[in-house]
Amino acid sequence: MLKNGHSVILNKRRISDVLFAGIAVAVPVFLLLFVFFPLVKMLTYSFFQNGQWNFSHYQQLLGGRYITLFRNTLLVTFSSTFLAVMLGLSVTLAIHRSRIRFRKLFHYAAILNMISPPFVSAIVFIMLFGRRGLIANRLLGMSITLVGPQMIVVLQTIANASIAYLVISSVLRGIDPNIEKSATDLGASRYRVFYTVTLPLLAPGLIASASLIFANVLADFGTPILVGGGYRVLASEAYIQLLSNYNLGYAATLSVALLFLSSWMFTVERLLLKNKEFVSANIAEQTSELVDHTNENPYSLLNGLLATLFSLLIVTQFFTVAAGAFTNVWGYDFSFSLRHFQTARFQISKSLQNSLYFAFRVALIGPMLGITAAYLYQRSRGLVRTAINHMAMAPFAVPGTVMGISYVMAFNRPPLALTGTAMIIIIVCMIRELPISFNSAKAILKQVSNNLEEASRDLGASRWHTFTRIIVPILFPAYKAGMLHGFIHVMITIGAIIFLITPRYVTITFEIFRAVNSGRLGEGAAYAFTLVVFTVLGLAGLHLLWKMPALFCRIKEKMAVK
Amino acid sequence: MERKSILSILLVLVIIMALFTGCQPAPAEEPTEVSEETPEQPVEAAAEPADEPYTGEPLQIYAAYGGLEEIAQKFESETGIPVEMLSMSSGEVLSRMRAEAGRALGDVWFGGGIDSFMVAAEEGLLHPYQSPEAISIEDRFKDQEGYWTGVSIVLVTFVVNKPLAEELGVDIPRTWESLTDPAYQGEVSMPNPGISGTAYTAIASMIQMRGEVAGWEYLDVLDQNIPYYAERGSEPPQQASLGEVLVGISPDGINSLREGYPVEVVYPEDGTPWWHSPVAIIEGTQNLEAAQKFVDWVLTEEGQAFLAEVSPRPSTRPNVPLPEDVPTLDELNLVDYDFAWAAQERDRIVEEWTQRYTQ
Repeated sequence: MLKNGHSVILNKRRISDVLFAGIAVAVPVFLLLFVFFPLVKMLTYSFFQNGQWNFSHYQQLLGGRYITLFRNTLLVTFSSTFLAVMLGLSVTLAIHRSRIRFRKLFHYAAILNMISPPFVSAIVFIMLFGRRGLIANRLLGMSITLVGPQMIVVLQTIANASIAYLVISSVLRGIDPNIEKSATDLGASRYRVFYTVTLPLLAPGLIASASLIFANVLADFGTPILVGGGYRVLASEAYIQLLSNYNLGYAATLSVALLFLSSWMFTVERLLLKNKEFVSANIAEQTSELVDHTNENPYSLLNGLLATLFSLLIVTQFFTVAAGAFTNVWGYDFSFSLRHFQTARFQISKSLQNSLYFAFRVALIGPMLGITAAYLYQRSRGLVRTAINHMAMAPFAVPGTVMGISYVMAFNRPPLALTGTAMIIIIVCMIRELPISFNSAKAILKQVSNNLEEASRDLGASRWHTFTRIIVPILFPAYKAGMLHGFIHVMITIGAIIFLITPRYVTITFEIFRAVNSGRLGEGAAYAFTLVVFTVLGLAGLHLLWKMPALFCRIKEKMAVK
Repeated sequence: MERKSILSILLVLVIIMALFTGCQPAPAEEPTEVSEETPEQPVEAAAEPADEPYTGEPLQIYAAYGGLEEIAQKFESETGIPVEMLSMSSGEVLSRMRAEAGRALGDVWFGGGIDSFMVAAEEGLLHPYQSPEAISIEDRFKDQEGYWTGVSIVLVTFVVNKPLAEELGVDIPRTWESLTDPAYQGEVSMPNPGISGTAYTAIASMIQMRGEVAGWEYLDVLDQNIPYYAERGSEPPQQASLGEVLVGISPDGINSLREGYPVEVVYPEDGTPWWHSPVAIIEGTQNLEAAQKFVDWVLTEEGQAFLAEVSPRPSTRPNVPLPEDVPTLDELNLVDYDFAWAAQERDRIVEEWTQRYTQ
């Protein structure tokens, strides 16, 4: 009996050791293969042409005109990042640290915001605030210019505030409310608590979201092209070089420049976080979603105001899209009509199926990659650590289109002939989503510190035990953030897969792009509306999955009582 | 707490299993769904049904064309060959074909800028095919070696917002010359010719029509009326439809009109720039026979009439019945355009344009 039990434990340990070794090898290999290798391919493309070394692209990059490009890029990126993080922080605090009624609605608005397909938002803005727009012109009698760098910043801020909110709130919910409570009990003012306790504890989240958003804005070519009015940044220049001048090498060179800027940002992130090891060993109950009123934020009024404005804007935007889908001519003839759905019904159902197929897969598998990578990152030292960090963060710095192209260059022939398959689309989406789950898991692990693991093991728990009982539950918020963001992102993504998609795997966002680009705005709105509705349904489904374990427990308990 | 986490892990594992064993995404639509979609186009018994039911892979088509869904269904109902279409600009298709370097991921390339097709043919990315139907098509609309064949004529038009014209109290511009009138200052939207094939065709047409010096002088004056150059070809008609600007220089302006916006489509009377939108077979296709059938079909009189119906453009084949809102080529003053010259000079003209108007 005893002997038997002993061998079971031994076996278990052996299995877990093999498993750990396997993960420790598999994750870096996966990253090398699908992050490093394509990027190297791209790099060689930037200075290796027709079998010869050629640095002309880099010389071109150092020419005069490109100073402007760099300046534009940095200006737009820094201001959008700063504003988006501030807005995200405000929304987070309004939801988790205030007494505003219905504050839960802000959360749904933030999620809804992430769902809005990119092309449609810009059109909605024109319809609402444009020269003949409903709000700005007909209601307020203003005439605003909706093109230029300020418009890029506005759209980027709004679009990225949701990411900031997701990352910051996942860190905030990991903070033990008792710390803030103790500070208050010891007589600190609310301001003092906020500045000396809450904010420093949030710092990893703020910095992590800032670097994510920085890279996100840096790599986004869509918004500058849509509303920039000729104001060009590095990412849009790369896209344009690729699509109009068929200049692969030059686009690759510009991507290298983008990569340089973003890795610089991540170095700054590392330096900032190095001296700020805020340790909070007591991870708060994951279930305590209800806000503790004693921790009211001193700026609740301002936060509430900003969050309300933000939410109103998002909701108006959604209703404008819905109006476009169900009226005869979007923004012009408001009589009810289903003609847009009728003309596109087959295409809608086919592309929707494809999108959901990709999105669910990436949402459920993807975060595990990010989390394991973050765990390995935390556990490893030296070069391996740096390498994992860079490889896991790199995908955000590479413009989607360039990443797609680099995948085509890397995986179009044996032994890895993956182009044309659904698999490569799933992998590229997973890799692009990697930074989200990686970064939030990293931020959480940073708070935990290794002591917790050590303590667990000192008390006799096995490595596997420690991992499943301590680390995994702690990382659930990161998984959730990665899952939700992954699902949404795949539903609305276009740049990364534009070069990998085949007619068989048409996605719904592609169809929006096509409809808007050929001037059929109503049809585009119908697609967009369908997309939003099904993304919401999908998210609800994922939430249900999330709640399922707790539900099972409750049912089991009830059964036991009976 | 403990039990909960174990359950969660189990759940995640189950999900993973489900994911890897789950079903593939939807393949082609059922052929049976199709016929009801286009009742106004009775499937003539004359349209010979395929000798035997098609058993091959669905035809994969990269397209830059309007009305793709209708075209796919019509073709399938007439030939029994299922079609999967993907909309993509010709620049993207070309970049992608180059990156694939000889591994074809599709069968047919349908519609787009003629220059991309010319470059692709030169680089050996296209498979030549002399369709028997191409004989009826004028020589100027097709490649002599059969690498590509023009399907329809894309016209560069002005999309003019009528309510805005009334509000501003200006006439609707009918010529390129009148477009430079100071009354239209800040009211003309045009894309960057480095990005948009439409804009490049327009400025190359100006230079060809007026000569090098006068052409650039004209563009200098036109520049005064253009607040900024858009970064995508679809922006001008969109801005004009929504009343952000008065005039959008745009291909296929009828689309905005058909969508229902209060616009007038003007075919410039002093020269309408144009190009032919081609169809080609992608080199290395695994489905050559079906691809050839598609090329044949879009060039037949019925196919051409159907294309004009769903994507309002004049046909390349003469005497094809056109919808009422589509002008025939005889009604228009087409620019006498030298495509070879335009392709050769593109880099120089775009460079000069960039120097002049974007610094």
